[in-house]
Amino acid sequence: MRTRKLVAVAAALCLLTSCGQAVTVPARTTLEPLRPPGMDDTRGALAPTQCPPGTGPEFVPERSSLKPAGIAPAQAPPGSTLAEIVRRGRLVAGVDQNLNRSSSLNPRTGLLEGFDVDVVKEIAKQLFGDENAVTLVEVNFSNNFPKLAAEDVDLLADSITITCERRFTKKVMFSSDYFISGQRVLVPKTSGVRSIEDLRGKRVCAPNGTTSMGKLMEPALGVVPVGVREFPDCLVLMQRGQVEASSTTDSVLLGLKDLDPATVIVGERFSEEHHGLAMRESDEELVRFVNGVLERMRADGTWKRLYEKWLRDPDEPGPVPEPPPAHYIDEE
Amino acid sequence: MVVPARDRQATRARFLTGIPRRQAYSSPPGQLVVILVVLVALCLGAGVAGAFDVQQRRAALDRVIDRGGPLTGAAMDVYQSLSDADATVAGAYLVGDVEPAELRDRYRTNIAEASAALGTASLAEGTEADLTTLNTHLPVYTGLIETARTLNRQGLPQGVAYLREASTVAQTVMLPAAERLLGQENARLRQAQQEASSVDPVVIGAAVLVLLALLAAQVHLARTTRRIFNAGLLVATVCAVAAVAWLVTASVVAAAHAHAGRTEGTAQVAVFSEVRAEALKARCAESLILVARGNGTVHEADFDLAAARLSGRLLADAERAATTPGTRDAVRRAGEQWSNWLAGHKALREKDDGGEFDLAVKLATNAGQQGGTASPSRTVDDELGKAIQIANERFESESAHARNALAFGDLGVAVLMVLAALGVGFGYLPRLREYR
Repeated sequence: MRTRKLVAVAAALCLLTSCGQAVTVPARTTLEPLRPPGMDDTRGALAPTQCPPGTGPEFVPERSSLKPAGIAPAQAPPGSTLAEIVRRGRLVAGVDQNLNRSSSLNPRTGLLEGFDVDVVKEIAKQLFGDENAVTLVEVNFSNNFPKLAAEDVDLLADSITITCERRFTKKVMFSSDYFISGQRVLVPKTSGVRSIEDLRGKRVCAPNGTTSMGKLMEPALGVVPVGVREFPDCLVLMQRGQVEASSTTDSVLLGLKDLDPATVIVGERFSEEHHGLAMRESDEELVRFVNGVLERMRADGTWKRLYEKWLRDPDEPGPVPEPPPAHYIDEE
Repeated sequence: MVVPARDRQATRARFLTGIPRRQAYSSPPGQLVVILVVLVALCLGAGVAGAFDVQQRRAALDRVIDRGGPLTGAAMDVYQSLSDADATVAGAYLVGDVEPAELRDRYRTNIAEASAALGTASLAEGTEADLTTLNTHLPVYTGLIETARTLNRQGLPQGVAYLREASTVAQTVMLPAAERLLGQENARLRQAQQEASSVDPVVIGAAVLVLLALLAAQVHLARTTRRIFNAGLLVATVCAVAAVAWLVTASVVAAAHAHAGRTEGTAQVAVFSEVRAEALKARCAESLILVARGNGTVHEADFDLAAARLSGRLLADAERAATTPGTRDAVRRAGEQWSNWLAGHKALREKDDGGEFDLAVKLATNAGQQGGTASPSRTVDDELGKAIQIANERFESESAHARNALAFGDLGVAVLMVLAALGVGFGYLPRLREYR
């Protein structure tokens, strides 16, 4: 009798210890929108800083460089960067890897290619007679000027707009104007947006630290700027509907448009931007040498050939534009 | 009417023995009945307590073997598979537009393992938030990877933007969730292992009490009846001693095995898997440095951080933790290869910084390349995997031994204590009859 009770108690205990677990249905789950690394939509420190006081008024972007001196690189003063380049037998240039058409990595070949890359190769060709005597170091708009200052690269060729601020606060000297473009807007084909005016109150993307971002932050435009680290991140955000448009110079937009046939470049240019290769301001010999190369490219048709190959918009027929004229601050 | 306690006791005694009420509490038979009842109750009570304790610890071991082990394993699989997938896919991207079949298979296996392990891990309680994070982000992650792969195949440079984003999701959202999940499961497993290897002091107290009571009863009986031995009580004592011996032996053996399962099993698995995860982090960062080309400062910092943690603490921890010959060898080999990896990484960074990107990629991806990082990083991962497997097998066998040691313990203790109670009964009944 007692034994049976004990068994019953034990059985009850067994039941108690292995009771079933209640199941709860999860509350409605939403997924936070993904953010590309380095994305910043907090409206702060995104734009390039302003021109330092006292340096502004007389600064003309397309007339800020030094005229070619015509000295052979071999006669460069010892200790100068140009002499160092000649000694090492290679030019080290900073280029973007995410600017389709200007300079980007071709996944098929694993090589960097584009307008900027070809310009750098022209410089190497004139220096060493070998267009491949160049080491391409990849940079973006968050690290390009620091890399130049740290002497990691001899020059920057990443479609930099010549600005007073960059000339004086980053302590760089630009080459002569090597191409002109202007800021426009890239939108999905179906969006119905026809110009920047239609984007008032909408989210518009540009990389941090670019002149394009500076423009987007002007209160008059009334757009909500969204900053990213790399140009293609704007396209990613736009493809996912996290921004309504991307806005930067049309040469860059052209490269983005290639990557997504469902997008279109709209509106007129609302800026005119002159672009230069950037070098340390102390490297005057190098600046003059590079300007000499650009002069030759303008004169012998190389510039037009490269522009047509890389930067011409196939949807906008017309003659290939003439190269931008060279002006120098030290010309008569 | 309230019956006084003494009366109630007497009534019960009279009911049991058939002796009139007045005699029941004032004469020897009444006293004997009280002793009999107390002893029987003590035996049965101790039996139930002992059986219950054994059962509890067996249940704890069941939790360790059937839930804790697999759930911790699943959480670890989620973590390992995801970090391996991320490292693999970044490496595959470096090779070119068509990734090698081996790397594609590795990624595919990793994702399959992560999904399967997530299914298992979802049986755990109290981890819903992290599981939801992992469950909702896994398809997002694979979607981003497939987009990157498709763009890559078409030769469109936008692929790298999707790859970077996928890796960010993995590194900042999914892996931290997986890490928390693993931490929780590990803590729960440790707790269950502790429960399985401890004996309830109440049970020990009860055992001592029973033995003392039986002894006292025999001394008392010997004095009052002038008979030195009472067969029934002797049987009861033998049964009680046997039950206590069984309980103690089984407990000690089980505790030793459960403890070994912890120290030579899961505790080592935890250390090794932390090292392995860090190594995978380093591998992934190394690939991403090259994928991001000059924009890999963040990833360089990631690699340096992982390398500092590995060289500074983790590998030393693993060496200390590896107590069995198999794990010791594996950890030693992993440590050696880590040195080679670091040397290879330095060479690779020099090539990359010097603009010789193609050579840097070869060093990172080509297993045949002398002085590269592809083969040492693979070996580090494989050897740590081996060590984890050995420690895991150890955990499984030790836990099984612990459970075997407790097998039938509850039934045995219960039966023996019932026998002891019967022995007490048979020991006292003849004495009581003498009063008829």
